[in-house]
Amino acid sequence: MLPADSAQREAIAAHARRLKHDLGKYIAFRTRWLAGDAPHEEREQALRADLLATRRGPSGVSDAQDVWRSSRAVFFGEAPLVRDVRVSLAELPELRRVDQAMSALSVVIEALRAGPCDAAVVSQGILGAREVSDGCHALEQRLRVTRA
Amino acid sequence: MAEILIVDDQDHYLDLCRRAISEHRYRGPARSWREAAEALGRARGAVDLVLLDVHFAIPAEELVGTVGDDGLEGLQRRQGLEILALLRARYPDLPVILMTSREDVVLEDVAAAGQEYTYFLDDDYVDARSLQAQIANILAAREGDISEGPIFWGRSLVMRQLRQRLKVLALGRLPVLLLGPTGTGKSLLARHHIHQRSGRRGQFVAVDLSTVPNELMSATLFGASRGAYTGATADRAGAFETADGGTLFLDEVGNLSADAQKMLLSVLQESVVVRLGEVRERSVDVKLVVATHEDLAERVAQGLFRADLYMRLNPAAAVRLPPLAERSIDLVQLLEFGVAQALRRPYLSGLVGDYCERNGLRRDALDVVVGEAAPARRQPTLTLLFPERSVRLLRAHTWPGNLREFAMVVENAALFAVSEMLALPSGERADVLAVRPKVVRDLLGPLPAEALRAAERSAERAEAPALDAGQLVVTLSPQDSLNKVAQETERQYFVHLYIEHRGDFAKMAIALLGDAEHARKVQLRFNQLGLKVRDMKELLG
Repeated sequence: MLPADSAQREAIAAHARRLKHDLGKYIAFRTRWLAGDAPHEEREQALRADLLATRRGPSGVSDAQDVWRSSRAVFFGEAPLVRDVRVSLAELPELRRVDQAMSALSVVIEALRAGPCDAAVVSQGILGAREVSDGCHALEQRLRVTRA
Repeated sequence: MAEILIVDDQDHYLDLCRRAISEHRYRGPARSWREAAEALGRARGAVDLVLLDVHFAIPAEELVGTVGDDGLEGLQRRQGLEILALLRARYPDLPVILMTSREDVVLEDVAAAGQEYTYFLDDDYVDARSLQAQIANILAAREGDISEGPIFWGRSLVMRQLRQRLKVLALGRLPVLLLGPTGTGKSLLARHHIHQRSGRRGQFVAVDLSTVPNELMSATLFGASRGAYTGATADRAGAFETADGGTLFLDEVGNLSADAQKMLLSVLQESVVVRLGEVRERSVDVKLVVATHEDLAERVAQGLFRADLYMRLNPAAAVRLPPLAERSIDLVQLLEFGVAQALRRPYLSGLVGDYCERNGLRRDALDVVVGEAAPARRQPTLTLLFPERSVRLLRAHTWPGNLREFAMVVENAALFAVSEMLALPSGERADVLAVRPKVVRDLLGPLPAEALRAAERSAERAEAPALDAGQLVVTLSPQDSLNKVAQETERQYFVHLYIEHRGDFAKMAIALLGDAEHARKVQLRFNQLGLKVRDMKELLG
């Protein structure tokens, strides 16, 4: 499943490291800091920022789906890993875990885009974001290349 | 409450820290190395901790470091490490938390940046509680940092405040004036603290003005051209030029000749030096640190030091180092520190090493214990035991030579303890070297105890020394400068005068200066010499 070529494995590991940082860290960045008794408004605001403004850079704001989309294409072999090389890691359970969690979150993301959300949606979103975050961490651990 | 600078290209951490860890004050976010350097410069040493993100999605022109095989994005993704390397070079002991876990960083990169005072998150996905705890731990450890290289700070409030003040003064452009009795470590502070923290890349140059003859002082400091004075056979750069871009430390600045005072004033005003015999001005950028054990204000009042130069030396921000006798709270830690420092000296470390080898003990460890007995041996390490009575003697001593005297006493104590065991093994525990009270008592003489005992004998005989007949007996041990010999002589002279006049400073003033009005001045000098009225009163009975 994983390529035998060491350069490709390094490239996959680097990609997983970036995913863990860009998506895994920031998709649950603010919600992770919430106090247990934080009011609904604060929870919703934190979730909104995490899911709809996951990354900011010179090219603007990216939401969680934008960040995932580009990585997903590489991990599922739909876009090249390096130059013309494509690899598919679709069978990796850690990858499927992230993919499924992101799919489940799309409902919450749409709801947040549409306007204020109720407590149930926000709780679902917070749990879903944590699941994506943990999945990215597990994926990075799985693909990590041990250096001599 | 600590002052924390956040270096991050986004607002995340600042927002969250302000909300969730509100007990500290935050600056930033600095979004690049340039902004971080500016923020730290503005803070003038007030920042206690830096939170540094690793990934900086900022434009290429704002990045520091070189683009490698991984392209511009690679440099952005490790930008925090590049910033860390620059922080370490400029602020070597400023704690920095890298906002990532250790396992997410290529360790070679961090090793290059220097790992001391560099911390990682326990988990890449940090939350408020764990970050709060980590910040608290780092700050607490910092508080507990009682020594720094050869400098012993201790825990006393006065030294903590002094350290904080020096941290700020080191970064400023104004001169730093260090005051305090001889042996309190002014020169160590200048070299190992102020210069190190000044952010200056030039040399540290020290000139002890008490050792420079008056006629050579100007040339030594400002340089001279060939033929400028008899014996000037070649052009010569002065200390200011040598220290350009760095720090110049002038010890015993009260000894500056009148000519040198005038020239120094000009350098401080214009930032240029003119070598003797030349008219050409040379620009210099020097951090000036000056030190004296004298009361400079008093010298100004006496017309011995220029008032305008004194004002240029930044007296309002002068740092006064306390005499060792006022730092007794730290005596035990200071003993440990002193022994560790003494063991760096080749002779003692060789002796201790041989002793350890002979007795099957580790050469690389030595414990210092205060108490009546050393703890039961658990490991093959040597213990230097200071019994309570020995420590009481050390505490009672007035330490006129301050840290310098203390270092000598501790080194000798360790030396004699080893020598005694080598000569006469006690037959008991070979892993314990006791510093017996008798050894300490002997080491604390002959000064000032010897002088005091001599004075005591005179007092008992009710015969004050016949000073006017030139019969004052002065006991001197080798000193490292003429200035110190002079000071020691002066100190003993004061002791005799005090005894003779039964502690009456007005009478002492008449004897010394011909006018009882100068009693306060005499008392000030008395104190500067490390003499204590309390001790002397005991002597007078």
